[in-house]
Amino acid sequence: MARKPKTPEPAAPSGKKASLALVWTALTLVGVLIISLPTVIFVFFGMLPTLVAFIVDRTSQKYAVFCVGGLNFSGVFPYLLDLWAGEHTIGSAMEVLTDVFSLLLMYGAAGFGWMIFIAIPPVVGAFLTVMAQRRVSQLRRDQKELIEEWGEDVAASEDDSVG
Amino acid sequence: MPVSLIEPLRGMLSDDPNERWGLEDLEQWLGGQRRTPIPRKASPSALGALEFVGVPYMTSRTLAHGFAQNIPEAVNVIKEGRLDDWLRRQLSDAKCADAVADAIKVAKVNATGPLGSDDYLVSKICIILDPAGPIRYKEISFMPDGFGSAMAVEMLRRGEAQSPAEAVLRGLPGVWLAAQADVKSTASKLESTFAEVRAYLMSSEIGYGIERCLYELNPGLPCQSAHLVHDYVTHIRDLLPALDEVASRVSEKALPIDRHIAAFIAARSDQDVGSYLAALGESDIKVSTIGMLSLVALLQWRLETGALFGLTRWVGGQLGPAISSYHSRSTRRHLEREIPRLIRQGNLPELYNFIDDKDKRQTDTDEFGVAREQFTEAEAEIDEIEGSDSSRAESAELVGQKTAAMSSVVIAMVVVSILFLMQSW
Repeated sequence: MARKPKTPEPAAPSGKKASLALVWTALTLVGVLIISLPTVIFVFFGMLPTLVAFIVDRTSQKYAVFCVGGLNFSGVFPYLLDLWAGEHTIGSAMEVLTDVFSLLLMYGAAGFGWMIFIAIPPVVGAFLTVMAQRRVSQLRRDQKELIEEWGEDVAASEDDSVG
Repeated sequence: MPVSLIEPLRGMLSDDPNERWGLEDLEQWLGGQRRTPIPRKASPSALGALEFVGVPYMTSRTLAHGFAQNIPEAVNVIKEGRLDDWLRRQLSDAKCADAVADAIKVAKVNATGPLGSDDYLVSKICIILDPAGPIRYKEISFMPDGFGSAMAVEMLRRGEAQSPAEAVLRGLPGVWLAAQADVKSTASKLESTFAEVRAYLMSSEIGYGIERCLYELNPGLPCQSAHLVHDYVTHIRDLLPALDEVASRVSEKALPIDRHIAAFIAARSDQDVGSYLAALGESDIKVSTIGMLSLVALLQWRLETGALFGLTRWVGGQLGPAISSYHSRSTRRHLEREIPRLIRQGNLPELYNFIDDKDKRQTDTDEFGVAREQFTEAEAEIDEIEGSDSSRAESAELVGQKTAAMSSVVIAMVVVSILFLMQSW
């Protein structure tokens, strides 16, 4: 009697990996909270626009997150350095977070990121359209030159010319 | 009529070519030598006459002659059965009457075709009534061995020879040969000649048809082309010089080779010119022009005729379609520039080699193929670009977002680096 072919072992579900990553993230966060709570509080509130971008951007590439996050961090980092260089307390962190000017800089930088994210694609689109039009014009010029040298027959398909 | 003249007249007018007197027989008679008199062979005479268009006919031979003169009346006599009655009752020739009845039956079967026509029926019955007589069809009558001459006479008198051609196409020579009581030695030769003539007549291509038969069957007949009819060109060697002279007095648009000249060349040339005629007869004017040039160039080369300035100019003026058979405009311009120089040399083979150069044509065809491919590829690319507006917009947005993200990250890195450095110092 022939043996039944062995069925391949089912691959580990991707949910298992995800939950593992979640555990590690939670552990790291707890660790960081214990070691550096003022920094965590400051970064959390300072980087709120990035968190919003992460929630709003449903694409897999998350370009909006990188765009907003990059500039948002540029706005947050000077205060973060001050925090690390000065008193590293929750009070100092809260002082910066309650300062309108510092908030304006951090969130303004994030807003600038959003602006870049909205403004650049149409510019690139227009650029690509111009390039395509230039290519079409070049091809039309080549075709015109071919017709000038070989006549209208060059435009007929081989089936037409046989017929 | 003097009795002494009866003998030479009977000898010279004998229906049988084997008995008919020639010049030698006549000289012998003039020299006083007595010859065996030719017995008088009278056709069988009927008991009573057949009245046909007011003339009483007593023999089948004379009746055949009468029928050929008045075909519509002859058809009435045949179809009313009067001929059958007369043949059976008055002439007592049941065999002839049966043959006539068979001919009528065949005509009835083929009523809608050419073999059912009155002309054909009367002609066939005339052969049955008078097998030794000529083939009588419509307004002409001819002995099969004199068909060529009959055709030439028709052509010279009327300018066309439709009736002799029809007679051959409808197989009347075969009917005549089948009606002969004794098979003659010339019968097979005649059969093969008429088979050849029929093949020529069945083709309407230039170089064949009635004109070809005319020159094949009449070796001494001059070319009857409208260009050359007054030049009396009987030999192919005289053809090109005659055309060279004609060139100065004809319109430049007139074609140098017409149906008569093509048939004359085909019949008189010792070389097979079938492929040249096929090219000449092509419906595509580019091919036919090159065919015309190749034929006259072949003749000049083979016959070693000297320079033909007039004919070369005439032919050269008609090479427009041959030039336009090249696809490349620059090649065409080159040919147009060079042709006048070759025309001045009066050399048709050189002109032909220049126009129909194999390498040049191959290069033209190959490069045209490449150009066509390039055109098609360009067209496909244009279609792709123009047809992908929405997908291009999508990809542009994606690229834009990616660029924005990259820019943002780079700015962040620069800012962080600068601040870090400032803090360190």
